[in-house]
Amino acid sequence: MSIGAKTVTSVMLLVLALSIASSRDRLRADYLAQLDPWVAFLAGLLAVIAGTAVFRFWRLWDRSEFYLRFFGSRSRWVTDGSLAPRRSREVVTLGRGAKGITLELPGPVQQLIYLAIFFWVGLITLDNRAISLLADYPRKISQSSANYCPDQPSPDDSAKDPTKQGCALIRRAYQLGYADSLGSCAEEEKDDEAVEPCRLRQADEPYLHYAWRLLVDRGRSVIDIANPGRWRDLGGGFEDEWNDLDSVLWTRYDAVAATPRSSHHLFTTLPAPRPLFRLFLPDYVARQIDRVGCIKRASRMPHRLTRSSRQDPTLAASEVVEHVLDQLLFNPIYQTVVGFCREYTIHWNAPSDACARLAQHPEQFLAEAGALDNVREVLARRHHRLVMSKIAARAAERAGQDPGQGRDIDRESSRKLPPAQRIVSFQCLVVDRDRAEKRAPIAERDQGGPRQNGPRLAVGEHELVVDGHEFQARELHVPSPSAGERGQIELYHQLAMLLARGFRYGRLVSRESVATGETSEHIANVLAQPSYLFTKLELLRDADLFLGHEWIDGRPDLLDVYPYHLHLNNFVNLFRQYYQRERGRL
Amino acid sequence: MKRAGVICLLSLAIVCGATALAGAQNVYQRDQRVQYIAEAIEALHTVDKKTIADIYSYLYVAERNQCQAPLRSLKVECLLVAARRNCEQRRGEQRKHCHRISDVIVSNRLSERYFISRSTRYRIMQEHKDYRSGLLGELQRRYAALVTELRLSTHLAEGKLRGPQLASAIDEYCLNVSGTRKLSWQHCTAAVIWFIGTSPSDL
Repeated sequence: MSIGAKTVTSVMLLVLALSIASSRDRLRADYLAQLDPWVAFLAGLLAVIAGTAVFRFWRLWDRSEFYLRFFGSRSRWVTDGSLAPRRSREVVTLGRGAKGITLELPGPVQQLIYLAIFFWVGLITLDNRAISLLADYPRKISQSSANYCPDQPSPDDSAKDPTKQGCALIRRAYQLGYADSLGSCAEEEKDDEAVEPCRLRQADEPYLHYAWRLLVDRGRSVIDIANPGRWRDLGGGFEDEWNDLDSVLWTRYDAVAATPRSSHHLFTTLPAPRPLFRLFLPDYVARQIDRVGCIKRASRMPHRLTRSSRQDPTLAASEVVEHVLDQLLFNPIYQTVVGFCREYTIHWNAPSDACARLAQHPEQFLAEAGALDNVREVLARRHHRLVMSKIAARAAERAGQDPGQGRDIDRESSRKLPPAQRIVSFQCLVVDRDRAEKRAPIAERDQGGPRQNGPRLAVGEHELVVDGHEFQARELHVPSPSAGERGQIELYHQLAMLLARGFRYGRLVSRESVATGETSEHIANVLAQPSYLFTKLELLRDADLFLGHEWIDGRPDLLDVYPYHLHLNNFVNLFRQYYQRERGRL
Repeated sequence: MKRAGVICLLSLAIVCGATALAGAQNVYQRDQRVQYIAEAIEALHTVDKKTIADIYSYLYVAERNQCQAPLRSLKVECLLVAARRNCEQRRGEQRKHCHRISDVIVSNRLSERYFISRSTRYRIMQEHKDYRSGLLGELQRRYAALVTELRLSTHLAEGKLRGPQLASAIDEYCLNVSGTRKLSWQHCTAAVIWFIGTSPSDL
């Protein structure tokens, strides 16, 4: 039997298309049922156009010129047109000549086959996702988000500012005289900054209009090059930068090398918490290791220090001081980290009159403590930023612009520079072990701050001058911290008072309900009963350890399950609001 | 002689009473926490689903109606009273199971807002016609995340755990979570207990 080559080709292509469609699950009824109608339409369109074109241009209605002959047994040869050599055991041979063909599909049937082939090709290549991408393509090529002006920010709604939510109560307390200041709830002065119009494409601007604007701007910049005033400005800017070349270079170096942006020092009489490795290392190296370790400490910090590795109570207190400082300033789970731990240095084993010595001979004392270089590095960085901002202002004046919005020689320098007192600070925490151990309860329920040995703790200040800049060193004398939980709470209050001027923590700002002043005993009684252990712990929300509640000290089992995060979160966030008003970084 | 004996007996009674009282006061010691957790899981496995659903519905209605209060402590105390009143109708072991289950349910109701933020709630309300079922589904996912973390943690040894071992692992894990994250111990524990207790498969 001999079959025409065109018939064989069309059938094989159809089988190939169907097998590919089957391998890609295109023959499944559920797949076909969920297809978008556009897929079927486009596949049919492809089939009609391509199938008809192939049928016409390949002249498929004519009989094939070549044929394939299939042998079941020996038979006669058609000698004219046969291309294959004569062999007795061949199964398939290729022959030539229309007369030898016994089977050839009619033209319409072959046309239908090719229609089917291209239909399945369309179904294989197109699916619902392809249709949606094709439909979205015109929109994509006409828009490019990088060239559009950003949306205008919505007006600042101070009512939505979370720090203002509790201010109604604070204002009322201030009016009634219960609070001596509004604190963070005081009205803030907002700078009215002129907003430069956006030169990118507007959201509703036609593309041609935007292209014309770009062309015009480019033309203007080309013309501007020939403007003599421009060259004069450039020369003036170059001269300014040449005259302060060291500031220009140091500003670049500071940015690349990430030099410290602040320098805050805490001098304490407590011993270092890890004395052994300090024994064999220079103090400077030990401090560097501490700085590197602080980042790891702050990454996953527990809410409270449950076990101290030191048996010596003073060393344990040192660990707690470190932990409390990390929580107050660096722990990222609370709002707005207010400092970078590498820029804070704790000077252990400092003399009890450290702040007094610092005030008398600041540079000598700082040099002995190994802090002078660090302080000077930060002050120098600030100085370089100041010089760069002046250069930018002069350049803006030459260009006839507002000096506040001058050419951005250094983007950092165009921002408002913080005063030196904000980026450099000195504190002294003096632990007086000779003070009496007997102490009053940590806090009165209606007053903020710790009350130790009767009179309220007071922070003293010493004036000092370093490299022409005036600073105040704050000093606080405290008794030895109590053991256990109470000691940690005391240190929170003490360090917060020392670091943040005017910081107060009382019932008005606590998460404790205002109406629960007399129910501590009730909470204690309820939590002593062995039922509904989970639900009853909700009552500890009204037992803020930072306000006292010494009865919890006698319940170590409750301390394990106490919700520290609730009250600690509130305490730390409030502290950071106070702290940010005075301290920061470049 | 007789007087000395009476005095001895009285002293012994006072000492025993004081010891019992001290033990009863420190009810959140580790051993008692672990035992309580184990009892709660057992209660959820023992009691039939319909009874659990009834307890849940009762406490849900109580929380949404008579226990609405501006102060959280008032709400908590009201829910405790309602739960106790509901469970007093039962007898023996059933009453004890009811108390345990009620405690878990109330704690989960009170912790809902810590698991699901307000923005997520609004999103669920917009996306689901049945807000309540959408919320429950989201809660289950959050609980499942906790249980998955427990399963992958070092607190849970290889192999399936039962009873006190599982309870001990839950207690340790939730102590770690409450010590480092913004989730209370009781919220973590109740969520894990609820998921394990109502889940058809073993941990």
